[in-house]
Amino acid sequence: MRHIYEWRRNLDRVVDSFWWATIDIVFWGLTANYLKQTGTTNPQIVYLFIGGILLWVIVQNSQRDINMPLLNDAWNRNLINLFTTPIRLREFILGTIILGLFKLTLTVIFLAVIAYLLYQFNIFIFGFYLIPAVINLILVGWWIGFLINGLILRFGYRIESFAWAFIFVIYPFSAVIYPVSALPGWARFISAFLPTSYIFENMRSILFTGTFSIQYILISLSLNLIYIVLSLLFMNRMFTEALKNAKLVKLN
Amino acid sequence: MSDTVIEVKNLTKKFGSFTAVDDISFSVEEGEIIGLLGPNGAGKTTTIQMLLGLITPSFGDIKIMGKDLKAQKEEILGLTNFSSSYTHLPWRLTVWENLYVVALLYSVESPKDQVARVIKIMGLSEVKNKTINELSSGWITKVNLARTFLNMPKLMLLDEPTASLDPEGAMEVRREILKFKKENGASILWTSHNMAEVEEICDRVIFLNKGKIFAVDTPYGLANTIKTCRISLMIEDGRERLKSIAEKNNWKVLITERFSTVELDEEKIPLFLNSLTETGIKYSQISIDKPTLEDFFITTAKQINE
Repeated sequence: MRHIYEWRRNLDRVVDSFWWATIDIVFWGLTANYLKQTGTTNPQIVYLFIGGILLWVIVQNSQRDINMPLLNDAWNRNLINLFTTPIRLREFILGTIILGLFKLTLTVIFLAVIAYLLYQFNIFIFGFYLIPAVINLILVGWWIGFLINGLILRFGYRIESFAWAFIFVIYPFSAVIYPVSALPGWARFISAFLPTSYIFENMRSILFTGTFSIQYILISLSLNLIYIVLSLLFMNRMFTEALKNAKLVKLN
Repeated sequence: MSDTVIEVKNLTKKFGSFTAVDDISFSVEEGEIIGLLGPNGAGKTTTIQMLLGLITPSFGDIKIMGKDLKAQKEEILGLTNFSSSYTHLPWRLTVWENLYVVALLYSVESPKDQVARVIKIMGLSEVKNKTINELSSGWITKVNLARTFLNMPKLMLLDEPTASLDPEGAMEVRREILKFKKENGASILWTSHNMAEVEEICDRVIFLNKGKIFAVDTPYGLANTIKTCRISLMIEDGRERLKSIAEKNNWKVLITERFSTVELDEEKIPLFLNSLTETGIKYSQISIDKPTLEDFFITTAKQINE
């Protein structure tokens, strides 16, 4: 509730949710349109770019929506007020997840409409695949968010920029636009451990062949479940340590 | 419910080789107001933060309302509330929104009604729709205090609750806190650097120094450990004679244009007054100041530093 009140009045957060993603869609859509017009590439290139960016926004925003409530409370010097109420860490996280899902839904609907109006890109082109893809991409955002929350609790403001920057560590290896096969060997090895790479491989497969691999969905989901458990354990451990070392108080 | 609201045994907090709180034990009874005093770095804030579960103790036990803080933290926090001049409220939220969110966090019954009640009690009606960043520090302190009343706590931990208020505002806040305490039988742990305030409202004072309990007594009892009184006189004739009387008796004297002040033990006052008469010193005004809690604080802090 508190973050909904905040979100309505905070232009920065509204910009985070809509502005940058819209810029990406418009810019890369126009770029892809240009490539298509030059006839140097596959006519599906526009959908490839728009689809990739739209799905990547899900990862990026769901991760940021896990981190921003913690950072917001730290910046507002409200963490002490918050954790002297009967709220449990898991309730705090659950609150951020619910709010994040609400905001993500609004963002995706908005971007899907923009993509349709500008490039006639219909997000439902992915059909049933959209459901497992979105779930998996949200899970990726969450485990990276939990990991960053743990790091913020451990290292404080020194690493607050991770909330915006860290996600881009996995970006090149996720094969959002280009296929995994275009990556060098060492990068392909990394990409094999990223749930995102399987989702985007499937996305391309649907666009070019109309089919997708169930196996890829299962691999992605399995990796996500492992990472979610590990990241939650990590964050919980860091919270316990923050109470021992007075880091939660210092973060305030 | 137990009559002892806070029971702290052998509480210790170490950060590496530094000991912030060193093996302290104390208790707070139901309805009692305890002042937690001490110089900066004495361990007051660390102690309060351990009582709130914000810092895990290295050793020792904390029981609040008979419940173990380690095992029943959320249950305890539901019956407690905290206010500090050093924490802020989300500044983009209005006063009403801030209080409503806190009421929800404490699962208060009929939260909207309770928020309205607290707004009325604390005189916040005129600012209830303003965001926190539109308020003066005095108003923010009042809102911070208002949030502590929302869950009708049985224990309030107040860290310098009147720090940024003017004397009238501070008096008003103290009055409301005392009224709340009287009506609800709440116990209060209060830290402040305003000694007159502590003297006025605290039943007992725990004086901390370097993480240890240095003294526990009533404010009057602590002030009484200081035996020195201050006598100020407006001398019309005989400043030099006053100086020689003080020097002869080893009393501290400070002579200025208007007033001359002599520091001496309370029992020596008759002797001093006799000396004034015998030596014919003429004065137009005289005031005798008995030691206060502030004198205890200053003297103790000085001794500690030496």
